[in-house]
Amino acid sequence: MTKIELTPAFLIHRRMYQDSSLLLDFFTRNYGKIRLVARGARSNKTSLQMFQRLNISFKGRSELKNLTNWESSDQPRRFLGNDLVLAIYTNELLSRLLPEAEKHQKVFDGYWHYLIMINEQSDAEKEYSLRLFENLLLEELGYGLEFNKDSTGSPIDSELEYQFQEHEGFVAKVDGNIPGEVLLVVNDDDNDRLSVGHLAILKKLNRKRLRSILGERPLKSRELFFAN
Amino acid sequence: MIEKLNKAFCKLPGVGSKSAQRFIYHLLERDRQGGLDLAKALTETMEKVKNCARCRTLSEKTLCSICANNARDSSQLCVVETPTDIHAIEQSGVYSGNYFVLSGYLSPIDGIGAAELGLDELESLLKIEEVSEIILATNATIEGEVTAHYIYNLAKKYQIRTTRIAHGIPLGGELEYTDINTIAHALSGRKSYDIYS
Ligand SMILES: [Zn+2]
Repeated sequence: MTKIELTPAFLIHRRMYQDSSLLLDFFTRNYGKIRLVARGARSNKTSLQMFQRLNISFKGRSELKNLTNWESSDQPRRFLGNDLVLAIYTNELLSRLLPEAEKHQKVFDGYWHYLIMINEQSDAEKEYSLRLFENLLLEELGYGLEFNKDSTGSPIDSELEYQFQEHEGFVAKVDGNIPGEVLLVVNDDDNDRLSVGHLAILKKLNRKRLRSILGERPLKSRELFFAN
Repeated sequence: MIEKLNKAFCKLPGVGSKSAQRFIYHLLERDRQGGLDLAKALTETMEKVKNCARCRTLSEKTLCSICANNARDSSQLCVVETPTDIHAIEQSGVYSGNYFVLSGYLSPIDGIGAAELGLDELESLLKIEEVSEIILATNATIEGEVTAHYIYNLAKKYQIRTTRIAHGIPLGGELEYTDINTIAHALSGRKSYDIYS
């Protein structure tokens, strides 16, 4: 019998379960991604909120445990418009990429930080923050990249161009699509030097990295970014 | 045979194997005619009720009674998540425009995107009809908000004004007993007081 009391968590997905219950996916700080049942929760109007840091309690013997208690340990955070799309996208990333019940505290902390920042950033900053979160997630899952070295181990040259190869890393190429300068900006975490064009390059890079891990089924939230 | 029927009943919301057993024995032992009538009505309904060709709500005819009603204001289009939502709004009696029913809400993690929701059909409708206002009546859930945002972008493409139904403290409700998220939402969506006087 597992019994956990008030542990930090974010709700990342919910769906109907049987008649009056909900099936909830939480990203907990100490136990990783877990799925719980909230019995009779559908009629409960003060429903659990996403994007808000919670403390949850759960127990059970079987694989599917019950949510027994929860409280908010955060301020209400409401996203609208494109901010909401960004937040939904990160939840899909977590949902698709995090393995069940594997602790990833750095990702948890990074996710919270990201959510707090969304409301305060400019559009370009938001986009860069999302790239950093993707980088963090990929790194924690074992797909990290060194942004200051090329595939042969030589330092990235700001004057050269590179191409990203899945198993090798950054390969210097005359007609490469990634300027070394962009990689160094990410390495130094100096986003003041980033242009809109640079952001587009980083987006493409991460899309390629994610695609090789996600496989054939693309991220559905991307559809929501339309018309922007 | 009984077992098969039991399983069929269990598919209904709120019905478990025990209640199914009770229904079946009741019909078999006390009300055979009622059972036959139920079977007939069920078959007929399942075969004949389709989706309205325009708004996609459930309807026996090609066009539902609301879409077929010329007295309704066709410049207003209220977008809801389910046919039951139409029923709820109609009961309030304050709306006289048309509707469009989605097949639920956008839920990317479950693989439900724009096409799965019928948003393409909504777009075709916006192309041919003269809609001047879209009222977003999706639920005040995260998924409902995402859906609303998507439709807002769609409407912008056709230069159609969008409004969102207001959410907040329920009528007769007291602040003390309202959850903080609802209060935050209600505060950020506050209105000028003089509209009430
Ligand atoms: Zn109709």
